[in-house]
Formats: sequence, C-alpha cells, structure tokens
Amino acid sequence: MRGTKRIDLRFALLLGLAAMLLAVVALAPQLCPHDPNAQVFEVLQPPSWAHWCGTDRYGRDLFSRVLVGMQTSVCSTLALVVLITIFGTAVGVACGYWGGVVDGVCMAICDVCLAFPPLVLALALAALFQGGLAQAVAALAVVSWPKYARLTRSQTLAVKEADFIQAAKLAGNTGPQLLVRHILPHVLGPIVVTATLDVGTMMMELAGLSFLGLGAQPPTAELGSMMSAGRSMLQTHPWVIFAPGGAMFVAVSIFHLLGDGVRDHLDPRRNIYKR
Amino acid sequence: MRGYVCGRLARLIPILLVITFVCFGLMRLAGSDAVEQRMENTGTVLAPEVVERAKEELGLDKPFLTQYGVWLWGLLHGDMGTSYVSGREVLPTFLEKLPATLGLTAVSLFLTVLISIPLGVVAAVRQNRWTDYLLRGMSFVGNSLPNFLVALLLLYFFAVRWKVFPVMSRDAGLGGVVLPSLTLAIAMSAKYLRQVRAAVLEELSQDYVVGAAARGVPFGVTLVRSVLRGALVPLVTLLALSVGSLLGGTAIVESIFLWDGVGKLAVDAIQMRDYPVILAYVMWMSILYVVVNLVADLCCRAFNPRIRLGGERP
Repeated sequence: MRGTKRIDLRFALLLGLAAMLLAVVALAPQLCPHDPNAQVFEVLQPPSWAHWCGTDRYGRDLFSRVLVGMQTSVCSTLALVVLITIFGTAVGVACGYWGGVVDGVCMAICDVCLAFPPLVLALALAALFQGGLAQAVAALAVVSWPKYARLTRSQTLAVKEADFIQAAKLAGNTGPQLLVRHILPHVLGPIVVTATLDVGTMMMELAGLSFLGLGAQPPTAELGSMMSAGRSMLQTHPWVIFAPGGAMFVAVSIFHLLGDGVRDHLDPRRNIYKR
Repeated sequence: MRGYVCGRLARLIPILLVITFVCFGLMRLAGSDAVEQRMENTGTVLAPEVVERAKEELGLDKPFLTQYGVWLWGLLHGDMGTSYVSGREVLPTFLEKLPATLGLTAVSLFLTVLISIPLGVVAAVRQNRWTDYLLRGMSFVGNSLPNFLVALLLLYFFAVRWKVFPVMSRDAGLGGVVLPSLTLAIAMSAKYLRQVRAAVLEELSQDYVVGAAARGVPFGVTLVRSVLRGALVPLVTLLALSVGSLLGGTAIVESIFLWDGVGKLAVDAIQMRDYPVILAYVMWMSILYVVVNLVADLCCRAFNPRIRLGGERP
C-alpha cells in the first residue's frame, strides 16, 4: 500500500511540474519582460538584471525570445504528437477491426515508412516540403504515425475476439459503437503511454530539423533555430546558444519524466515487478 | 539456416525496389521546379523556351514511370545523375564522402559499446543502490539532450574553453574524430545503457543464476560466462536497430563539426535544393539501414539456437 501511495505522490508532483511548464508556455507572451522581436541598441550583451539571458546579435532580449521560442516548440510538438496519435490510432483500430484489403494496404504503407531510417526520411521530406515549421511537423508526422498504427492494430486484434466484445455485439451494438465504446478504451492505455513518452523525443527531433534550417523561419523564435543562429558565436557569446539549449533541456526532461510517470501509473504490472 | 538466409535475401529485392521508387517519386514531386530553382539562383529571368530546353535536358518532360525506368536502369549502371549545383556526377561524389560517415558511425558504435555495456552491467548488478541511481540519472540526462546541443556543449568546453580538441574536425586528423563520435555515442549510450541494464536484469532473474550460486560458482564467473552471453542476443538486435537513428543523427553532427561526410553533403544539398544529391543520400542510407537490420536479424538467429531451431521446423 505504501508503495502505491508514494508513486501517486510522485506522479502528482510530475503532473504539477508539467502543468507549470504548460502554463509558462501558454502565458509566454504575457511573461516576457521585453518584446521578443524588439531590438535594443546593445547587441550581444551578457546576461544582466535588465536582460536575464543577455541579448542576441540583433539586440533582442534573449529571455523573452526563449519564452516565446519555447511556446513555438512545445505547441508544435504537442500538435505533432496529437496528430500522429489520433491518425495512427484511427488507422490501427480500423485495420485491426475490419481487416481485409484496407488492412493490407495500410500495413503495406506502414512497412514502406518503416523501411527508411526515420530521421533520414524526415530530413528528406522536410526538404521536399521546402522549409517551414508546419512542413517540418508534417514530415515528422509521416515518419512516426506507423508505430502508433501498428501498436493499435495489434491491441485491437488481441481484444477483438474477447468475450466482452462478443457480449457487446449480442447486446445490439453496431460496428462503430463497438469500436468507440468498447475497443477504443481498451486500446488507449498503451497508446497514451507511447504518446507521452514520445513528446520529449519529438520535441528534440523537431528542434533538430529547425536547427538545420528546415523548421521555423528566421523572424519566428524557436529553440532549434535560435541555437542554430547562435552557432557562429559559440566562442565569444555562448549564452546565445545555451539559453535556448537550457530551456530545451528542461522542457524535454519534464516531458520524459511525465512519460515515465504515466507509464508507471497506467501500467501497474511494472510496479509489481519493481517491488 | 541457408534456406532462411536465401529467403531473406530474396525478400530484400522488393524492399529495395520500393525504397528506390519512393525516393524517386518524392524527389520528382519536388524536382519539377528544379530548373526554375537553378534559374533563380543565377538571378536572371529566362524565356520559357530556355526553361523547356533545360527540362528536356534533365529528362523532366517525360512521363513519370519512364523517368523511373530510365533512372533505375542508370542506377544499376552506377549512374545517379549529376548535381544541379556543382555539375559533378553524384555517385562518385557520394562514394568519396561515404567512408568518412561510415568511419564516424563505426567509431561512435564502438564508443557506445565501450561506454554502455560496462555501465549497464554495473547498474544492473547494483540495482537500486546509489550507483544504479547515478547511472540511470546520467542516462536520463543524456536522453533529454538533443544531439546538436551535446555537440555544441562539447565544442564549447573541449574546443573553446580547454582547447583539447580542434573546433573544425575536417583537417585535424585523428583528434578530429573524438568530439563528433563522442556526441553521437553519448546520445546512443544513454538509450543503450537502459537496454543493457534491462537485459542483464532479465537474465539475472533466471533460475540458473541461483543454481550456479548454490553450486558455489563465483558470481563474477556466472556473470561473464552465462549472464552476459544470455543478454547478448537482445543487445545485438537493439544495437543494430539504433544504427538507424545513428545514420540520421550524423547529418546534424557532421554539419556542426564540418565533418566531410555524406550527412554534411546532404544538408548542404538540402539548402541548395540539389535533388539528385538528396536522393542519393536518402536512398543509400535506407539501403544501408535495411541491410544492417538484415545482418542483425541473421546474427540474432546465429547466436540463439532457440530461434534458429524453432524457425527451421517444418
């Protein structure tokens, strides 16, 4: 009993931490001490009381830019994860439940996507879509949805013939009702775990594309592109890189911790083994 | 076993065809405006006839499947077209840079194994003691740092602050390989350490470990002779799978350290929209990936008699 209680406390703490991060992200424009795009005369100032993280090469306040950049990064990452989760789950459930030709075609497409090394394909797709944050998100989405589709499909297949589904069928539920009310809730657990575990990774991959100039374009503040812009100033003005880098690390850590927490919470079997 | 290998090799062919087809299709979707792109780069506005002629020259006016056929035929003869930007043949350029990337990958893999296997074993043996917590914490931190940030941190401390290694790896000889490969190895080890730990823990929970201890076999001997051997099979598979992320990761790291490999070539090509070069990069990386996965699969079977014998039963 004590064990579960402690896990609950830790999970609550994690949820609080994640909520704080999301609050900072949501309120970023309000929290900025300066206008993130306004330029002051003193370029490349070291961190000071006026500018907590210094200023960049155009004299913009870095702290404000990091806040706004975090908003861009986190929001686009969350959009990406929600997109692939919904799409992948829908495809997976449909394939698993109905099978047949649709299943064959979808799984073949999955196999094609999985035949490529993910980051290489994402890189090529982002190049093909020709830069821009939405395009980078789309590129990563194409690369990552098959994992979700496969996971959901196998879960659906496992649960499809279960007695309670047969009972629900006998009770007069139609196909879609069966899917949404009875199969989906059963399948959702592992999907939610995978999705939360993926948020941090996706954030890093998206920032990686931005770092290569395939994501957010210059005037927009985004953590990856900010670090990329600071590259040439590593020797003289390292804070231009390490301010967004630190923010990125904190955000990714929180998402990773949350992912682990959600997994432990939703998958009690692991805890029994752990004790 | 031989029949199985032949079967797998035969199944490789459709996969390779699909890969080439998808790569080609993707690049053609974007490549149609490659001519205009090239014209834009020169900064002049040209008559439509000139554009048409340039398209004809590049074979962009023919139907799609014909283009694919021609391209595939050329590919089989080692012709991957010429770069839109430099005008050089793609394949020789690519092959010239491939060894650098493969070398970097190999050194990174070696470093990963060197770092994560001993540490993972220690973490498993000392499960839930402070060593374990420390190592897991380190792995967590490594997992939460994007590789370009790791690269910049290493550069800042080792090259700028302490001046141990050169900033640009290109003309530094042996010292230049340390930072880029370390960058890749840190990210990989962070993931791999956890997997090593899990695999060793799984193996340690087997009954034979208790049995060996009861017979008076020293723990170290059981660990090296039995536990590590047992854990090897999943580890080889996982290591090979991580080669995929490594191949993608080299692109960023190479462009940061100015390492003259195919990753940097591709990033430069992307900036110039040099589609034949991008195409070559994606295709060869994917082929490498598929082949590495196949080799891993075969190794896995060779090491594990349970799979090997189970698979060949009629």
